[in-house]
Amino acid sequence: MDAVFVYSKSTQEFVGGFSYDGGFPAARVSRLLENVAADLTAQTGETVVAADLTAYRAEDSEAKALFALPASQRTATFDGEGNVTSVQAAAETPRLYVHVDLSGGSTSPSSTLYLKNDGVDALTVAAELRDGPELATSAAVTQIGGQDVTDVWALELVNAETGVIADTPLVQMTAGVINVSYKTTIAPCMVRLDDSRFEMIGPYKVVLAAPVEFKIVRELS
Amino acid sequence: MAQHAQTLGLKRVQRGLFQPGTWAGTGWQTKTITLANAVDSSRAIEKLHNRARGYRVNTSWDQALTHVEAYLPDNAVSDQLTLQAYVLQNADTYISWEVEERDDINVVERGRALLSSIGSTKVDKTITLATPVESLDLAGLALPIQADVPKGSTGYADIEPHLSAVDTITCKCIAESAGNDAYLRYLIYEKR
Repeated sequence: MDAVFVYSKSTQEFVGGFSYDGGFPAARVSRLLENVAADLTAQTGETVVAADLTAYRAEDSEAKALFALPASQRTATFDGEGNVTSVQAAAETPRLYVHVDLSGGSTSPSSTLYLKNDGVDALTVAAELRDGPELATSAAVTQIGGQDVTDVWALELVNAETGVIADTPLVQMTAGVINVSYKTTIAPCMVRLDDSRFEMIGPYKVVLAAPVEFKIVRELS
Repeated sequence: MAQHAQTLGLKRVQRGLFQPGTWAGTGWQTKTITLANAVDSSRAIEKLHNRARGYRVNTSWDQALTHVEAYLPDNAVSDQLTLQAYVLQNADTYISWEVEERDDINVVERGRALLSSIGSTKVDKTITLATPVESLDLAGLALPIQADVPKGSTGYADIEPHLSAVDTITCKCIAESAGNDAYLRYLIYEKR
């Protein structure tokens, strides 16, 4: 497999990526640039010539790894004339960790946390934003960029078996801290807080320090 | 060896992925895939596989493209595969393409039909061919998805095979919401 990543020389922006399972000869990169330039000209109305573009051609495992990344997760290095000299994975997005403590409800013999869906039974949710996954060695994060981390979050609880959203309660985070009481009337299921759906906070990806799961149960009347 | 391969119906396949990087706004847009090798389009079938329309935006998946087509020029030796996409969101997407060059076919017609008022139940639509064909096989069928509708609309079409000479083909179309126009890119080839 070969991959060709095309950038604008003037803006250093990524303008297109092409992968070829059967390979793409290096000698044909100039032809590819001509085609990309023609597309850009048609789209923008401003003449773009192949000389305005620069390409990086990768092979085999490098091509596969780089092409699998979203464009936003790649960076390119350019020389003094604007030619791309390398393409690499961007540095990993910095993380913040949400430490969650659940109390209330009831506990099954197997230690699963139960919450009755009668709209009365409640889980007390205490969550805190910290700079590491370990409570003992991390520090609370209350501000980012000099601003309190204060916002309303729509937390998506998914059915742990199907992955389908089961509930989306709105919760208030104030200076990196959440204290809410969660009650529900949704259908019984095992629910999981899905951190892959969390909003980023500034440049930070937000993840759970530990999985958060509990079971919604229904009491027979 | 080459002659022997030809009698067996040799297939040469080029395939890859395209990552547009950015689209110039929304609406119909064209992008060009430069093939690794030129192909004779009268012997070649263009396909799109996983159109990968979805992209992730913070907390959910959203739809970036409602429609993607791929086509080679008619009856020409070309190293270009043209993509046309209807862009809803200027988002990072992938489009998976394939060009299959075969020695056992003649491409009769490439075309694009506007099928009006596709509904949410399956309906028959007829496409009149420019060239009647004796035997019919079909490939490279694009999804007939409306071009100017809200996000989330999808659809598909089936075309029934014919055993006798025909100058029309019938496709069965469906969309998720009623009353939309749909575009169908089709490719018809005869087996040699």
